[in-house]
Amino acid sequence: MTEVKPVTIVMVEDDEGHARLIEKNIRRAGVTNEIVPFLNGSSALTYLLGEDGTGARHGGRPLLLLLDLNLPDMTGINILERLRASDHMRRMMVIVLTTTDDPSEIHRCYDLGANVYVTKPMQYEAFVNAIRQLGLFLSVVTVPEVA
Amino acid sequence: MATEPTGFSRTVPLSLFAGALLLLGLVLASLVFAAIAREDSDEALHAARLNNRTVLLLSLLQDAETSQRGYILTGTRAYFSDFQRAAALARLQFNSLRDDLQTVSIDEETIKRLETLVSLKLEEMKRSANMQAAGDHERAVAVVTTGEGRRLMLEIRQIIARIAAITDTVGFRKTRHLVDATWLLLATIAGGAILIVLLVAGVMHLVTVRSRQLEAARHALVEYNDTLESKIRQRTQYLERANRELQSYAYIVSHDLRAPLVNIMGFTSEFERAADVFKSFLQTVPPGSAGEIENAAREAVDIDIPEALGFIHSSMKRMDELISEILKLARAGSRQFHPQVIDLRELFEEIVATSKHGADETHATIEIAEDLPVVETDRLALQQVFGNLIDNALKYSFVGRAPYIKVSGKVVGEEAIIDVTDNGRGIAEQDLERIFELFRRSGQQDRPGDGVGLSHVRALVRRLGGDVTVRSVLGEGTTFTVAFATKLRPEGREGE
Repeated sequence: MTEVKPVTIVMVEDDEGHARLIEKNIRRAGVTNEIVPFLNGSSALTYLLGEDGTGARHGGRPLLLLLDLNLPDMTGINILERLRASDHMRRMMVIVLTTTDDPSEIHRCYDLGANVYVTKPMQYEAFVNAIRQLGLFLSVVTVPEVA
Repeated sequence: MATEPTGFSRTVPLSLFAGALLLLGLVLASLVFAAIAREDSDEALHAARLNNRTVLLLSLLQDAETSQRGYILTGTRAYFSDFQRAAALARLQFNSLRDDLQTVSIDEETIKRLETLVSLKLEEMKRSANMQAAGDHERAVAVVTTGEGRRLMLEIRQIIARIAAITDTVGFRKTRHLVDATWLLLATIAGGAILIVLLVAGVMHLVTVRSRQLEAARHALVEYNDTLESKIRQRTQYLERANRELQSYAYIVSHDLRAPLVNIMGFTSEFERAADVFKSFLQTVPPGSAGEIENAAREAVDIDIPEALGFIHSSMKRMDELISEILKLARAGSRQFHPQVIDLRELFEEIVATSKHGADETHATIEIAEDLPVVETDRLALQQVFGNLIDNALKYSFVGRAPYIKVSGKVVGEEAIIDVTDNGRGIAEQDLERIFELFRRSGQQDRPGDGVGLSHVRALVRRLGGDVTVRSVLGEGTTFTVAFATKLRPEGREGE
C-alpha cells in the first residue's frame, strides 16, 4: 500500500461522530493513508466524479470508498450505481459500511458491484472491534487504480 | 335472520285490527238496523190487521142491524137466525179486539165507551128481535122507532172511524220507519262491503310491500355474506400491515437511538483515554511543586473525572440494555412463526426443566395438569411466553413461603386457555395493567429485571391470536390466563 501512489480513502458517513471514531480506530490499526470525509452523498459524488461527472480527474490514482447507505440526501446505493456507470470509476474499490443487516439490501449492494459489505455494529465494543479489523484489512488489501 | 321491528311490520297488524274492528262495528250496526226493521214491520203489520179487524167489527154490527131490521120488518125467521149469528160474532170480535186496541195507544176510555156502545147496541137489537119473536111486533117497531139504536150505531161508527184512522196512522208511521231502517241497513251493508274491499286492497298492498322488503333484505344478506369474507380478509390485512409498520417503527427507533449512543460511548472512551494520559502526566509532576492548582487538578483527575465517567458508563449501559430489549422485541415481533403440533404438557415439562430459577433451589412445587391440550402453533413463541410466566412465578415468590405453581388448561371453541397460578407475592390491583407495559415493573424492586418479560409475553400471545390476562390478590398469589388459537392461522404476507 505504501507504493508510489498511496491509496486515498474517501469516507461517506453522515454521522460526524461516527466518521471521527472510524478514522481514529482505523488509524489505531496502523493505517496512515489520507482520509477524505464527506457528510452527504452529493458532495461526495462531486468530489469523486468531478465537475464533468466522469471521474476522469482521479485517473491513475488508487481510491477506496467507505460508503454508508443511509445518507440525508440520497442512499449509498445511488452513489454505487453512479460509480459503476462511470467508465473511470467502475473498478474503484467500494466498501459498504452501514448499520443495515437486511439480507436483501446486502444482496443488492453486491449485485451493484460493492467489493465488501461490512455491517456496522451498533454496540460500542463490537463497533470498535469491527473498525479495527477493517483497518487491518485495509492495510493488506490491494486497491486498483482509477482508470 | 332476526328482523328488527320496522314501522312496516307494526302497521300491518294495526291496520288489520282497526279494519276488523270497523267491520265488526258495521256488522253490529246492520244487525241493529235489521232488528229495528223487523220490529217496525211487525208493528206495521199489526196495525194493518187491527184496522181490518175493527172494520170487520163494524161490518158484523151492521150485519146484525140489517138482520134485526129485516126480521122486524118481515118476521122471517131466517133474518132472526142471521141476526143471532152476526150479534154473537160481533161480540166475539169485540172481545178479541179489546186487548189489542190498547197496544196501538187507544185510550181506555174510548175502548170502554165502545164496549158500552156495542153492548147497548147488541142489547137494543136483541130486545127488539126478542119482542118480534114473541109476536109483539108493535113494541119491537117502537124500540126501533125511538132512534136509540141509530144513535148508538152512529157513535159506534164514529169511534170505529177514529180507531181506523189511528191504526192507519200507526201503520203508516211504522212503515216509514221500516223504510228508514231498511235504508240504513243498506247503507251499513254497502259501507261494510266497501270497507272489506279497502281492507283487502290495503292488506294486499302491505303484503306486497312486505314481500318486496323481504326480498330486498334477502338480497342484501346474500350480498353481505359475499362481501363479508373479503372484508374480513381486508381488515386482517390492514391490521397485519399496521402491526408490521409498528414493528419496523420500533426497530428503526431503537436502531437510530443506537447511532448517537455509539458516539457517546466512543467519545467517552476517547475522553477516558485522554484523562488517563493527563493522569500519567500528573504523576510525573513532583507533588507540591505547582501549588494550589495542582491539588485541584489532582482532585479532578482522581475523583471528579472517574466519578463522572462512572455515571456516564452506567447510564449508557442501562440505555444500551433498554434499546437492546426494544430491538429484541421488534425482532421477535417480525419473526415468522412456524406452526407445529405441540403437546402443552411436554412443553411445560421442558420449560420447568430448563427454568433458570430452578425449582430445586427455590424448593418450588410445580403441578402440571394431565389434560393440557395439544395445539398447533409456534413452539418458540409458546416457550418464551410460558417460560416467562413460570420464571416470574418462581422469581416473585412470597418471602418465607415455598413457591407452588399450578398449570391447568382447557380448549374452548377454537381457543386454548391456559392458567398459570402461583402463591407468590401477588400484584396490587392498580398495577394489573401496568405490568404488561414495556419497562414497567410493580411491587418491591428486590429482584433483577428490566420490565420487558410480560410486555414480550403479551405481544407474542397477541400474535398467536389471543391475549393474556391476570388476576391477583396482593400477598396471596397471581393467576395469568393465556388464551391463544389452538390452530395458528398463517399470517398474511401480502404486499411485502
